[in-house]
Amino acid sequence: MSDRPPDDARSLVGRLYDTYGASLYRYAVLLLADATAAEDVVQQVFAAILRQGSRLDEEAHYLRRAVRNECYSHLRRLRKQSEVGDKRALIEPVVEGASREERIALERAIRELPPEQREVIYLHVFEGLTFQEIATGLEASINTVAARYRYALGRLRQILTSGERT
Amino acid sequence: MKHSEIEDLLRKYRPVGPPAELRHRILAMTRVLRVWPWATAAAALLILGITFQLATRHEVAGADLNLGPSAVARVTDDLTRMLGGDLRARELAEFIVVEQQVHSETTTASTQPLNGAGGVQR
Repeated sequence: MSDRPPDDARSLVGRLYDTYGASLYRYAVLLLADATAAEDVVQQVFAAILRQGSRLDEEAHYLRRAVRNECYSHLRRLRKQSEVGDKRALIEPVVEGASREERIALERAIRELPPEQREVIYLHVFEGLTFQEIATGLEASINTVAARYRYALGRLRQILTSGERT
Repeated sequence: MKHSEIEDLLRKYRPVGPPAELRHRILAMTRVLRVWPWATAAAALLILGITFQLATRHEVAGADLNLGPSAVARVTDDLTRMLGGDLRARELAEFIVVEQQVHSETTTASTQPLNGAGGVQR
């Protein structure tokens, strides 16, 4: 990191947000399964950057890691305080023909996954990262990442098919 | 339902994007920082006092500075009133609370390693 004049803070934060803000928010939304908490997390990460007032090296990697850390910190607090998340929508259709019932069922299933599985689903399905890339980013083994993904799909299938039968 | 069908289903959707006001809130923090240079220094004292009040009122043992979402909203509202109650006061209050949470997270991070967060579930 290198120092920058404070007057550059606004343009730095604006540029970083315009470049990475949406994907960071989507990452936080799926990891937390809570849109309100995702807003808080992203805001906290940018507040930290603002406080530092410095340019970031490897900014994409830094920001994703910072958001991840904030998300897991939030989940730890949630466990401690037994607060429940909000019920704002987590996902939105990207193709025509998706029904509201289908979205709600899928969203409910996603909410039931553990955060670690939701995270791998996000990174693999929505960001298009390979298991190896995810493993490197999360500092986990590729087997762990692949297993989380496999378990996540299995759990989603279980929840969705049980919902279809009822 | 095969795994490939689940993947196809997931790909019909994507996580929702951020609300437009989030960008405004984040950029507003830069303005607040310039206009209120003393805010950072004041934040710790203000939040500490309010957290202590909350902890006392609700008889919470071992309360710390990691406030939950409802407490954060309460603290932000209280701070907004204390600072004048207008839009600028609201921005400052939000900044102070976020700032204090970041500080709290930074100081507690070393005792709670990320990889052990809640246990890895498979």
